[in-house]
Order: sequence, then C-alpha cells, then structure tokens
Amino acid sequence: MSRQKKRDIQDLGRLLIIDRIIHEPARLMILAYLSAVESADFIFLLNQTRLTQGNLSFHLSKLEESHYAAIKKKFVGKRPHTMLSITEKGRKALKEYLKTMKGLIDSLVDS
Amino acid sequence: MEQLNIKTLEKKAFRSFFKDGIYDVFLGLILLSLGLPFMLNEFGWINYETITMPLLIPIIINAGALIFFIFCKKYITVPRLGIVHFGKPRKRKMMHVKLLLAISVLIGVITFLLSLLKVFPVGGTTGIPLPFIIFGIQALLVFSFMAYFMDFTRLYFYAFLFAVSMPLTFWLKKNAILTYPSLYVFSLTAGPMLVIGWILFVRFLRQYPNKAKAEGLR
Repeated sequence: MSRQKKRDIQDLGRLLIIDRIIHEPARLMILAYLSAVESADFIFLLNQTRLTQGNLSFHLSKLEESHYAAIKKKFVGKRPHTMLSITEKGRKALKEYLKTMKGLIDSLVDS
Repeated sequence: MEQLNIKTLEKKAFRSFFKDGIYDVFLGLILLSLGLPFMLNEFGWINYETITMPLLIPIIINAGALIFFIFCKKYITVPRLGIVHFGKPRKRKMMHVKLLLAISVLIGVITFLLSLLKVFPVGGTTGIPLPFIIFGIQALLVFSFMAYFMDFTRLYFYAFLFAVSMPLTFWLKKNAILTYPSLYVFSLTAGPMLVIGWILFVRFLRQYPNKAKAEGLR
C-alpha cells in the first residue's frame, strides 16, 4: 500500500470522530442559524429552517441535551414563549465540526 | 458544496423582516405626505398664506403612517416571523442608522427654520429653492447609508425617488411643463413604494400564516 493511500485512509478515519449531534443536517441548520443571532424564538426558527414543528422540537431537545443550545421558557401574558440560543459549548463544537469537515472535504477533493 | 457562511445567514435572517412590505408602505406614505400639500395647492384647495394646513397635513399623515407601521410590525409581522435578537455587529449597524436619522431630522428642522426666516435665496439658476435641494441631497445620502447598514437593497431605489421628488416638482413648475407637476411627480415617486409595499404585504400574509395563533406556538 502506497504511503499516500495510507495517509488518505488515516484522513478518512477522522470521519469517525466527527460530532454526530451536529452532523445531522437539521441540527446543523438550527445551530448555524442560532450562531448567526443572539437568540431567537421557536417561530423564527420554524420559518427559517422550514422544518415541521415536531421535527424542530425533536432536534432542539437533542441540542439541549448536548448543552449546545439553551432553551428559555417564559410566559408573555397567558402564552408560553420559548427563546433559544446557542451555548458557548455549542459554538465551539460547531466551529470544530466545520473545521473538521472542511479539512476532510478538501483532502478528498485534492486526492 | 455551498459554503456555510454565518454572516450570510445573519443577513438573510435580518432581511426576512423586510419581506412584509411594511417599510415600503411606510416610506411611501411619508413621501406622499410631503407631496400632498403641494398637490392640494395646485388644485387650489389650500394656500401657503397660512402655514397651518401645509404643516398639518404631513404631520397627520406621518402620525398615521407611524401608527400603521408599529401596529403592523407588532400584530402582523412578529407573530408570523417570530422574535429574534441580533448580535453585536447588527446592533452596532442599527445604532449607525439611528444616529443617521437623528442627524437627518436635525438638519431637516434647521433647514425648515432657516427657510421660515427666509435666509435661503429664492429661485436661483435652476429655479429650485435651496431647502428642496438640501432635502434631495440629504434624502439620497441618508437613505443610501441606511440601505447599506440595514442590507435593505430596495432602499437605494427609494433614496433616489425621495431625492428627485421635490427638486423635480419645482423644476417642472418653474418651466411650466405640466399642469399639475406635484400630482405626477409624487404619483411616480411615492406610488411605486406603495404599490411594491402592498404587493409584498399581501404576498407575505399568504406566505406566512400566523402559526403561533393557529397552533398555539411560541
């Protein structure tokens, strides 16, 4: 096996260590939007991501479980209001994920 | 693979609030309010001997436009598009916009007061009174900067429409090209803003149903 091929396989091995929480397209999209703003509510994310209500709730719960997103619930009048924001951990994880993916894609495209 | 650009996402998110056409209608009403006294004067319904009517009409329409703007944003746009708090770079940009508007209002008030004191020369080579040239330049600069800071592309076009409205009216009046110059000029400048605004507004209402109300979300 050539040295180049071995290096390519080692590079591809990095695929196994990528963050699977962020790797899911819907969650990546949610995190990307949350990283672009300070905070946003459920309706805003629903419109921007075009996900269904159930889907968005599910992925937000996953992100909250991983401490990548913070969910604050409060009442405005009689209505519950949910504000969402990306946590510092989430921001770091997103940055790391993008860096890893970019490196992987670049190495695949180059080889 | 399309590059994931956070800045572009932020811009897209911010610009989504201009989809409702309310800014367009608001600006159209403001320009119309400035032109209405001239139109009514041309029809012979009001005169400039007393300053009350020419001042009162824009104030009433502007107040109405402001109420319309606040009401629509609060009860129509926000429930449909949601609430979002933008980051520091956007807040800084919006601070620039507020500062620009404050300076613009200040210049407007000073120009108006000086014109009341008849400090500015009347006529000149172009026949356009100096306050209206100042208004045109100011509108062009302020709205263009606002368009830049707010990433609101249509505002460049509106800056041009605001800028040409008053000087063009006076130029047409001086050269007696049209019978009712204000009517034509303000229909062609405020008109497109109002039409674009209403089209966008109707499209927005169709595109974005009130999900919060329908599904009890928030």
